[in-house]
Amino acid sequence: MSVRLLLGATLLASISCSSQESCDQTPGGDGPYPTYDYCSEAAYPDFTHPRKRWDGTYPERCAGLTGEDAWACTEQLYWEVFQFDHDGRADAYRQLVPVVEAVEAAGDLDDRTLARLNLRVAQLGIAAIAESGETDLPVGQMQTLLERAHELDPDEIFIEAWLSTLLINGAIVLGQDLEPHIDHMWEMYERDPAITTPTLMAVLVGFPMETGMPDVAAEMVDRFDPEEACGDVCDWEFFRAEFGGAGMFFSSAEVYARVGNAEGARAQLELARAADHYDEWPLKSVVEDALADIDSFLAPFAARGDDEYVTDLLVTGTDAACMVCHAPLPE
Amino acid sequence: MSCVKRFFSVVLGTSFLLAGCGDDGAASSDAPMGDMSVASGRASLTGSVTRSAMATEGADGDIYIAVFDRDPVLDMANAVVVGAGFLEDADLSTDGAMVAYEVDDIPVRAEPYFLIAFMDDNDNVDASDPDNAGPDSGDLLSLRGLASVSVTVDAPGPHELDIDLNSVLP
Repeated sequence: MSVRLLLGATLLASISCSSQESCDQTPGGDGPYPTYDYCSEAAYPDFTHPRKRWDGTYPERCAGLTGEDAWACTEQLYWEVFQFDHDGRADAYRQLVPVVEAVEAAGDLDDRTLARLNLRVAQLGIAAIAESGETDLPVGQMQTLLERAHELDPDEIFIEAWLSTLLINGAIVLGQDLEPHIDHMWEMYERDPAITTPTLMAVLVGFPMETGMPDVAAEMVDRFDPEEACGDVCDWEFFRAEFGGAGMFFSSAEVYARVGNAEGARAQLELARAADHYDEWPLKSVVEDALADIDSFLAPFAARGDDEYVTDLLVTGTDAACMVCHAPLPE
Repeated sequence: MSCVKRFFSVVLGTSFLLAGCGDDGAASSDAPMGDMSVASGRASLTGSVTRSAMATEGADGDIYIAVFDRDPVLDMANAVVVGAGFLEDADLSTDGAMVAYEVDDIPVRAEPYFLIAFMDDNDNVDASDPDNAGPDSGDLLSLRGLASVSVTVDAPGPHELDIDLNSVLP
């Protein structure tokens, strides 16, 4: 199986193949991208550029923009700080919240694109908290952004899964009733495993074993069929997630390691090793070390017992939660 | 720091201080309303307080209720209390237990308000200083996910809202 197959399945399967139109095509063969219109005057990010997404077309902080320009500018700023300028994520989040408010007030963006705008800003805030340690950002605000996105585009499961991820985190941290979240998660999984699995598994596997969440994550990986989930996106180059294949397999390996499945973990690590761009992947040495001593890869998880979180042990739950897939290629 | 611990600290970093409450827990009459439109008249919120979260400290203590002009979880710096209530020594220790509450003198407006209630389950709030009351680790509180419960009070008179203490502050 091509690694690229899995990459497409896990990272961009939210894109309906039936929605492909030439104006959606990211330059360089990156496939369509939801709500982009490369035929318009708006300046969307050029993902083929190795080192920048912000091209100077728009005013700083996207100030004063509404409509499609606000959306395109947000995308430029988002991807710039998300992939390259990690220290700028929190400020960018704070700058983009007013942009969302301005666009909402102006009412000059269609619902689907406005949903994407709300989603994107929420994602940036979550990345800033989870990966950059910006703990003073208001996580409840990200919930309201995701709820608004879901309200605007209720059929987009990618948005629904992100909202669910955030609410599950909150429910476990705050001792809230988990049952409705688990029921909803499986309902989403049945609808679209290709989106639900990669969105949720790295979050779920960090929780204490006694919550049952790590086993849920392992079951999701067990049942995940990338061949089935891939669709037509398999032949694209993914400039937004060059390490998506390696990242997805490595995340699956951590899931299996968490639940003590050494052979499952080893198999996923081998798949990561065979993935596109593996030799340039910043986490290559982590995989090599794990394959050289699989027991040491599993041992820290087992040492935590049944009642402790292991999120801090997960590469995919901490410093590389996003960059495990989205790190830029070396120059 | 782990992702989960980061979420802990984000939640904990959100203050729920009841600044603006009168000594008796009633709303201060001169509570600012920001730029929200205010209709004429005053209203009240009534209902029951229940507990669905697993209590770690017995679920027996004072309950503080505050109605804010905006979501204090999202914007504590600017959130203003427009109505408040206090239930002394409430006992929610048994499954299904409930206590009645009422918050009076809430200005009527079309936009929603945001409500936070918490039980001082670990009994370390100075009840004589409700202006600075706030939950800490182990206390029970009401949340909608990670945000506050919203309620619309758009006409004079009583409005019903049941409150569930569904969260435990880690």
